[in-house]
Amino acid sequence: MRTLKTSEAAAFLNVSPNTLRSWERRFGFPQPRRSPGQHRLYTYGDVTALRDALLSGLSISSAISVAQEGLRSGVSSLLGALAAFDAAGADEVMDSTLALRSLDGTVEDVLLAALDQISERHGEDSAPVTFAARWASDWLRRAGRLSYAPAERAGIVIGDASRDEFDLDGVRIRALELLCARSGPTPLCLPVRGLFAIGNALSVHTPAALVIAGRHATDDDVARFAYGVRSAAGALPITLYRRKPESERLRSSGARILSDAPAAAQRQILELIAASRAADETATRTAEERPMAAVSTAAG
Amino acid sequence: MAGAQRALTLVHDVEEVRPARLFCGHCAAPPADEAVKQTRVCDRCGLGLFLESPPETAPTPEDAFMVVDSGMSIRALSRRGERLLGTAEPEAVGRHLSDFLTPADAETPAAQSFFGLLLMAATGGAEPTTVAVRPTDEFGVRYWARVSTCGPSTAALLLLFDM
Repeated sequence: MRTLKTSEAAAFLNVSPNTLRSWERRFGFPQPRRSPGQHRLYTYGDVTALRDALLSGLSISSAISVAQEGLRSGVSSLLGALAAFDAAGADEVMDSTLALRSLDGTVEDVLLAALDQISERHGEDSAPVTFAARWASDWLRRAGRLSYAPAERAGIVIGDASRDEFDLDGVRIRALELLCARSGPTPLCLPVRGLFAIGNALSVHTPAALVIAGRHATDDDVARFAYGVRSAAGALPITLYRRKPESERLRSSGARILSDAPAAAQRQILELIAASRAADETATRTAEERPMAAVSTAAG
Repeated sequence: MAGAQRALTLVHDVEEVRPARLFCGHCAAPPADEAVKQTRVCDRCGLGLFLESPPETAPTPEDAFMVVDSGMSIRALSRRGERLLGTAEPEAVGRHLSDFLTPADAETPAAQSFFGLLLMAATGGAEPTTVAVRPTDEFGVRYWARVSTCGPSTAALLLLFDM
């Protein structure tokens, strides 16, 4: 997906970088993503949509409304295709959306937004939702095949506690898995129910964190799975990933609850791993310094 | 020349080119640089697009004004207009004009209904006309509103000033 730096986007729109940043503050659009160095990266589709809207707009506000409306049309097209149970049509909508948006944006702003709307309209156990959930999981798996190896070498274990392939939680888990596979940490997704020989998998994967995703497994199953993972891989930080989380931490275990937006959840996992590593390094350094201090005290 | 036939050709009147003035739809300033006319984004405040109107109806930076389309939706609101109506432009744009202003009928002749005038101006067919308006749901406060045309695209320019 093509992105533009602030200077490039400003030149494309023929305005100054300061003007572009003032639009972000005042109108919330175009909303850039951040590079690893925290520089603004504008999506090419957002910038071109805005440029076209500015040509016939009466104000920046109205041009931005027009541009956003155009970008949102992907959701309504996808809703139309899924409501017609047209998997090929839904694939086509996603292909055309990917020409304008990043994969993260396409997944969050179009695919998951359309699924939420279908769920609100028809209810979670309806035929349109089950069809859409299965199509979305399938699309996300296919998109995963195009992923390249992430720069972040750490791995995570995702304990899949979704109901089945028709569960909307499952779609969010596939989305998180996809974004992690693209930008790290490398995910290993396993079901939480009745899993034997988990140590074999973890001896190869070496995870740095455990994510329990979904809410359709019993507490016993989740506890057994978490125990199995931690027995094989050591004391890992545990996080929960759910649709519409109620709070930031689980009261009973203190486990952190991730954002239900997959891109934000993926960033939180990376932060958690970095914090956990930093804590481990500090503990190791302290442990190494302690015998030295004891030797110097004895010598003194 | 013998075979050539002379004929009278109907020549239409050349349309009178009316001078126009560019102003920013937010700060009302004219463009500082000729090059920005193409992009239309104001090179002074960066928050408005340049619009065009006849010089006699173009607003100045001291004026409160708004731009309304033919559906009576607000499309732009000047900095002074934000202060006068107590709302920011991003919140006002897209809302119906009647959320903010309503005609003060006693001063408006029936033939010049406020919304009728606006519709004519928004489609490019009205001469500048001044009518009385008041803030919606507020009594005892009135302004003059001069309705004229601006663009592109063609819309009504509503300039508010004290009575």
